[in-house]
Amino acid sequence: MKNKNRGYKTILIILVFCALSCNSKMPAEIEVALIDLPEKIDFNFHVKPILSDRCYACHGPDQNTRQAGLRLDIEEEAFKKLMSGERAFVEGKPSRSESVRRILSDDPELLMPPPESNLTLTAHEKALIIKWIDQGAEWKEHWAFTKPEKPEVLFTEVESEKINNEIDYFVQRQLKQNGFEPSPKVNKERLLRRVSMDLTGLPPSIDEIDSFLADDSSDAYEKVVDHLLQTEANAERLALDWLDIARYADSHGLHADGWRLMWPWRDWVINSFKENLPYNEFVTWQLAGDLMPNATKEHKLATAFNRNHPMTAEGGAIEEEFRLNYVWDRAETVGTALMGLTVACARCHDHKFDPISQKDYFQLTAFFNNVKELGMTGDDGNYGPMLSLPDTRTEKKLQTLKTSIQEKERQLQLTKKELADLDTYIKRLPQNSEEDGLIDHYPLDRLTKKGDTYWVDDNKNATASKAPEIIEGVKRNAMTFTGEYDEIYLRNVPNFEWTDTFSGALWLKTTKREKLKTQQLLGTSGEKNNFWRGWDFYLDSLNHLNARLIHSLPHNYIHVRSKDSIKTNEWKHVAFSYDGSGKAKGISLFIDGNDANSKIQFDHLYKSIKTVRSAVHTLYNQPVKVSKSYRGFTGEYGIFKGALDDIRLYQKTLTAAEIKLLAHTNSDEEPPTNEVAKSYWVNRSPEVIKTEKELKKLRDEWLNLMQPVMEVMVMEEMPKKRQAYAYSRGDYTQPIYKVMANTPEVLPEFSDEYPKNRLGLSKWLFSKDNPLTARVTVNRYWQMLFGTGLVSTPQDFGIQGELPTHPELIDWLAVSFVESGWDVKALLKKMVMSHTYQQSSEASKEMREKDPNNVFLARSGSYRLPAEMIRDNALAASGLLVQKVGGASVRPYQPGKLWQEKNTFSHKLLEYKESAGDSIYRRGLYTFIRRNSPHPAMTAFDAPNREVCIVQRENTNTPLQALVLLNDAEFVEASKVLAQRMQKEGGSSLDEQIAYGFRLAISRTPKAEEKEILRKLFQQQAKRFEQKPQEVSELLSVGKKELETALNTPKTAALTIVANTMLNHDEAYIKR
Amino acid sequence: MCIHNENKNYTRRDFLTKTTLGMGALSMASMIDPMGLFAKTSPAIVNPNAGGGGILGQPHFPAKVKRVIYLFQSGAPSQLDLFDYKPLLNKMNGEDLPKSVQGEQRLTGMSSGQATLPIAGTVFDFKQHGDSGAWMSDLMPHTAKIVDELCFIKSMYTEAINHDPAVTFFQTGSQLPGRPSIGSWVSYGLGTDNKNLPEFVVLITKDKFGQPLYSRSWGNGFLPSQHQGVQFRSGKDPVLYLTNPPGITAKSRREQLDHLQKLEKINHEDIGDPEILARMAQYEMAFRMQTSVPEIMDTSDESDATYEMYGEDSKKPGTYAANCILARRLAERDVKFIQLYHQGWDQHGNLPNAIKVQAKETDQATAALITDLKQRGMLEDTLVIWGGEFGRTNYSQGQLTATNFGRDHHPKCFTIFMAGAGIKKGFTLGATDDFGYNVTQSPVHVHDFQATLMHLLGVDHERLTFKSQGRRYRLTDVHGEVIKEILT
Repeated sequence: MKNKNRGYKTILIILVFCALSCNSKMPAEIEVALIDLPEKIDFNFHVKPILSDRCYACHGPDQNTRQAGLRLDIEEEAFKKLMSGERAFVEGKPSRSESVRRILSDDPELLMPPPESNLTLTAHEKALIIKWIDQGAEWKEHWAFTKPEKPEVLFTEVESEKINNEIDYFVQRQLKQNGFEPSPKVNKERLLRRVSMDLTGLPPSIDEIDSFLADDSSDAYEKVVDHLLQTEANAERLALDWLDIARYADSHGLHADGWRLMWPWRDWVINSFKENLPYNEFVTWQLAGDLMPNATKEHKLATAFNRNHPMTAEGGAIEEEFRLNYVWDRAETVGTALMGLTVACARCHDHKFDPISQKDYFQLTAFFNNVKELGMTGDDGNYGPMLSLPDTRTEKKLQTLKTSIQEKERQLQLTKKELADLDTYIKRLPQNSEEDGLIDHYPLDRLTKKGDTYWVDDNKNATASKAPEIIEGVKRNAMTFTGEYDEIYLRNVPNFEWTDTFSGALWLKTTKREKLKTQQLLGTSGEKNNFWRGWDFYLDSLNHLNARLIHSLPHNYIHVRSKDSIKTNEWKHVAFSYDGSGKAKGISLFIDGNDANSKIQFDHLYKSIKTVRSAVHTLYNQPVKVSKSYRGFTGEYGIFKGALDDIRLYQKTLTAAEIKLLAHTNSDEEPPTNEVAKSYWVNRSPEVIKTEKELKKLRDEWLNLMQPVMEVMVMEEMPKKRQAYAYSRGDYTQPIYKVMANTPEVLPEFSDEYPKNRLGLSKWLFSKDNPLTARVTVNRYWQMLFGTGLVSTPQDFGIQGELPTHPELIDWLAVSFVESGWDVKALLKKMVMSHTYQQSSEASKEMREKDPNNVFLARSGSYRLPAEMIRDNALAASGLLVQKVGGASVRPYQPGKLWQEKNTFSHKLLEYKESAGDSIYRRGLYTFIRRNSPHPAMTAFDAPNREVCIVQRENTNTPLQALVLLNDAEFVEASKVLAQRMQKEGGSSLDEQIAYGFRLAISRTPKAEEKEILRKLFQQQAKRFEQKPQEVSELLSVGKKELETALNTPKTAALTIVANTMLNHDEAYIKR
Repeated sequence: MCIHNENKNYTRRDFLTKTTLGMGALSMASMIDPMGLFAKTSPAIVNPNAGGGGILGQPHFPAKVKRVIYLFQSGAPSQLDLFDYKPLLNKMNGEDLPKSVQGEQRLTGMSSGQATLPIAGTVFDFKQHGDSGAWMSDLMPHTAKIVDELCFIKSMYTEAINHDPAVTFFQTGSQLPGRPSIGSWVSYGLGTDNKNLPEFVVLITKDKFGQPLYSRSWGNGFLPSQHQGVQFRSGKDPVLYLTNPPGITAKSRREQLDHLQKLEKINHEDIGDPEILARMAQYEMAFRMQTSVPEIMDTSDESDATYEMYGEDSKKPGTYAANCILARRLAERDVKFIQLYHQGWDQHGNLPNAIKVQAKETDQATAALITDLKQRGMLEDTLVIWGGEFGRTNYSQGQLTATNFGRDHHPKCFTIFMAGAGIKKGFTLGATDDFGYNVTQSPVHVHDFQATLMHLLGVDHERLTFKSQGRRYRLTDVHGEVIKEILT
């Protein structure tokens, strides 16, 4: 090709030279560079990558950094007249193009890119731009932003026996154009290993190898492929890559890096792949399952995808700062994983290279902003919104109990009504009715110093660490609270469950009303590390009365708020009364003895409110704290300022009438009415008490069933949308303007027909006009099978991304994928059935020199297997592998005290404890991922720590990898057990046993010379072990799996080394 | 000229061609490129003539510093009780911090809810030391003796107010996870001067509890993973998986590897992939590390005088003092970036007692390390850094009593010190106001510190970049000025 065009090129040089000569002399290096340029310069493939990489930083989409008003990413801007009157590009006229003058200039004032940018253009790049202008400067839109069309396939164009399907047509047409030939088909053993590892992540069994070798039928391979695609192992293999994308982990990632439970979502992913859920549904469920019509539990579970991001529990963290980080992480993950765009760049400013503005970015984040979630969570455990996952039996039982409870509640109301109608009660209250159900009465009249603390009213169960000032109160004395250290603790109050009835009343006079600050009156509710569990009764920042019963914030609690507020500096009587129903309407609030018209703020309580110890989460009767909350680390401690008097706590539901009585300041007021007496006596009638007891029993039963039910973090839309903003430089303190959910302007419009929520986003992603989704997806699956994508930057299909090596092929695959109904397995089958996939990966020196990175695909791709598959291969070869699908993560062997040495905050993940039994031999997919201390053997082989969405793993080669395969207990144990298996199953002769082991580890029969090498190694080692029985038992003691006693021999020890050598063989961890 | 690494483009073929090694009869051991330790491919491929084998080939300009020992004091030591002497605080002890001093500074959620912010003076005595007259409290008597070797920066400031983001910011230039750490950038840019050890080694004080350490602090982020820090630890497995399993001797391991080589030779003849040879080179390197690493970790050849200088802890493996000796040994072997982590400086409460323990654990060994390096002539080309992730407040978090108080996180000013190559001795840069709350002179941002560190290593922080996700990243993001005032 070069030679053929030499003549043309010479002419071109002369032409360009002439064109330029009037201004400047053409530098010699450019002349040379022009010789080697392609015949036709393509804007997308040759010129734009240079412009975007070297010029867009100052002449690109970011308007804040744009220089000289020149913008080179939009056609009409790039060709318009500059302020100087010149034009950057003049079609066909390099000499008149300002850009050419600038890139060739030797004046640092004029030179582009300017020297201070640290960017330069090579002679080749300059020549490309010059030749492009010379050829007419034809502009093209960015390939990935235009809708893919299905290219025509003319099989006749490429005559070859090596064409199995359309993939081969596109690949071989290009090979032909570049003077390459496809490689011959690889041998059957290697093909079977390749396709088994690629599709299932596991090696073929010896039976599978034998039957494939024996099958001469023309569709032998296709049958294998069809079978592999149906296996559970295939679903697990496909899930693995998706877990990287979804940044799935078993810990929170930031600061304490505590425990979370998300594996049921992983099970959902595996199952979805197993069922071959169409890819568009697979993604839609995950983005918006909760918003789908008639959403099922599975739909909702899928949305855990967007709750997999890291979260912080660092004391002192500012809530909004981190909440926004989570929201943005979701948008960025969708950008990377589904759109193939690096939208994160636009968090701080308009994207430098892609036409994605800061507004586009924040509009995208608005889709993910409407979740009632916390910025700062606790060290260990999940935080809402959550989905409970009871098993079917439990779910049924819960339903039955719920029906009984409702029935009993109706019965109770009827009984009460009947009794009230009877009108046969005496009309007076008993003398000490105030004492009925009273837990304690705290008059707050005096303090006595006892050691370091004070006793309130000589009550040893009511203590203060500092002395609140004593003043005159409503009922004798009262106490004033001025700062943050004079709170009172009440230690004789039961640890209430929400099935209990309880009430409280007190007098208050507050001096405070402060923005964003609450004032605690009474409560046990705690801090982040015990889920804020308990109850509280407080004034909010506008001095409205509030009461809450909390299992866990922000999703499992009930909360009511009074309509009226409390005036400052006035004595007021306040009370709350709770009926044990677990419903918000069961809490009543009273001000000065009158119903305070409470409004329900949140009404979803379904687990225990009994207080637990911080961090360890064991039951603990937290004292009721007066005048300050237990909250720490949040900057909002609920400090009450003012005076309190006469606190009463009851173990019953106070009726309105009783509260009215308590709110009386002097005894001269009128005596209680008949109504008061009536409700008093009705509530104490044996029938009512009996029914209430039965009701409580049913509720407790329901709660006991519900309490241990597992929950997973999911997405849930808030009833009212939270306003989203754009933030200056991504700083949470600097919102600049409001934004609405929308997709980037440069991409197809977000139709008015779509709902403006995550479901709409999903519809948009899978709309027929979306140019990215299908391309990005087929590219990722191509990468999975071939090692490198057709676009080698799977995370970036933007201007700075690599261009596709086979543009028509990726488009053909993308369109076909959509036409197939987004059928992933059909796509995989199409790929592995191609000759391109099945050809040999061997390459001559010449071929490697011509195409070192296998861009043209004249051979099959090789790559080092992912960490998990290297582990699985060793376990499968030895027979140790436990193929249980799904379930909780497991903890295999791990050296050192890696967890403690970094972090002692998390209680649940303080020490790394190996899992019990054979679960340590489960697939690598199930290995517990603690983000800040992931398994070191996995990390050595480039398994990501799942802090961010990853669509392409590193693939390195380090000495640490050798050390893992040679010394890690897991691999030594697998070698040992493989040595046993070789002897038990491999036949009687050493040669047979070696061959058997080789086939298990590498899936092919060793050559004679290979067998010979291994036999020599065996003999050498056996000799040593015979002389050193101590070393035999030492080696064979590695790992929990014990050998059959008869096989604790020098021979097994020597074979262990042989087996380990096989597991260290290139073909055990490199796909060939 | 700026070299951009498109790291996928290294080819092993280049390596093999350039080292003129055919595929045939060579022994694997002879192929080992010492520069290739922990390498995806030998960095020599990138530039076969490069000194250290990093992407830059040669530093951008002559480097004053050949190696760095970074003594990271995790949890954030109180500058007000160690270095930044503020008599006014003692005078105003107990008074509420004036709003005019606090200004717009956001507080952490731990003290922002306090009703008052009572000023807390120090309970330690401050004196001036050395010819330079540097102020130090009596908490660090040994360090006080060598102040004339030190360069204090009293005007450091950062943006983060909590540990995780602040440590991540200091070590990677970004508060959010995902970026390469300083040591990884150094490894990537400059490679190694040692043939048998990683270029970036991490040592952590054993059994200290405190604010968590984050493996991302020595992680590679988006750089190739051979650039991540390798943790050396006390005990029998100084690098994870380094030790042969029980029953396997060095001799039998050697024999196993010899046979593995033979198998791979056949394999290579069949497949022709140079990756096979590169892999075997790494096996040989692993084998050599099994000797070189334990040799470093075994300090029994150190003199009694050395142990005495570093203090009684220095004989106990895993202590800060023992790690300081290891740091010197690693430095002697030209490991380029040695990072120690010492936890426990997070004194939200009970500061007067807790900080004493911290000071005792670190003071003598820090001073000894600098003195030791000097005696050996190594301070000429080694940089030592001492510092945490932010400072502490001048007011008490929680109750202030006559004898006790705590200090919350304070990002607006804190002190670090450096010693060694390229840095002024007996010098103090910057100052804070009388409240020790705001910087009044020569503010130094974390990115400035990072830029200066790179500068001392001969690297222009703006020109050592890596393209990821379509843009060029650098340690200092788009900020950072070299602190010229402290350079010699």
